Amino acid sequence: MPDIFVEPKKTKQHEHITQPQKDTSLSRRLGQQSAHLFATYCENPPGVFFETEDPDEKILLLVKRHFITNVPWIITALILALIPLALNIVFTITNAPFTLPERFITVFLLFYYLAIFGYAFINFITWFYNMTIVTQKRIVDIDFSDIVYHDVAQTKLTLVEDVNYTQSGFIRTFFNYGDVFVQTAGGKENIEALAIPKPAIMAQLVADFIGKGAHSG
Amino acid sequence: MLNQLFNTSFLIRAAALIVILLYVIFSLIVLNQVRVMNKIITQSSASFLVFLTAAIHSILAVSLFVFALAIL
Repeated sequence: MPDIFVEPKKTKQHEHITQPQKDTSLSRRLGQQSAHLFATYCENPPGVFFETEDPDEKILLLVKRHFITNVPWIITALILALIPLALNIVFTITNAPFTLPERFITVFLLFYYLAIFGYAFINFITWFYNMTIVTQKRIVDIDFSDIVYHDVAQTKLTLVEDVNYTQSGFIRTFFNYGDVFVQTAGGKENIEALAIPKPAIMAQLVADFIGKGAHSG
Repeated sequence: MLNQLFNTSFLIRAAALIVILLYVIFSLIVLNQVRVMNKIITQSSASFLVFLTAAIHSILAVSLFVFALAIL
């Protein structure tokens, strides 16, 4: 019986073309950085876990506001710390008499510096606990403000419709930080990561997952 | 008794102790919030350091209250 169809033999070149292309998405090219006390940008951070994390979920990126955004309160705390010293110099020069007993002044000074420490600590933890996490499944945005208020928003990467970032101004460009906006489908809350380092990388990382049905990686 | 109530030194002492006591309560609230946030997100040793700092802050506040109670 004559052959109707004979499958052509695959040559090496033909095999090369039919092989699936390597996944060159950004998630595969991320390094690893530890999430230390002052870290603002961590790729694949070891030892970081969040409450609703799945067992097979892997944190790809953890970002916080750039540390330069803490400069205003640091300067304020330093100025406040120097005020008693300045007052002491002024009172010494002007010979102004103190009417309060020394023990009251001691307690007031100790309380004053404790309050400054408290002010600095509150500002630090407000920065420390405000972060955005990108895993291979979702984006988690943790907001912490006013000491007693915290909000955890999360969205699956499959629901992300668009992502863009802005980086404007000299300081933001110089220190390479900006805002990333993630738009989600339907009535879901959009996610914003403000003043984060290397916004282009986070935007690219999220963009790689747009359009993919299931999580990759 | 009434004279003591209107004594300036006594009023300042009472006001100082009340303010410091309020600050102690505030520091305990901050400590609790740090504990809650560390449950939500754990960042290796950094979370422990922050909790330790919050605990030290509370201890300092309580110590100041006791100190003020003793010397004022």
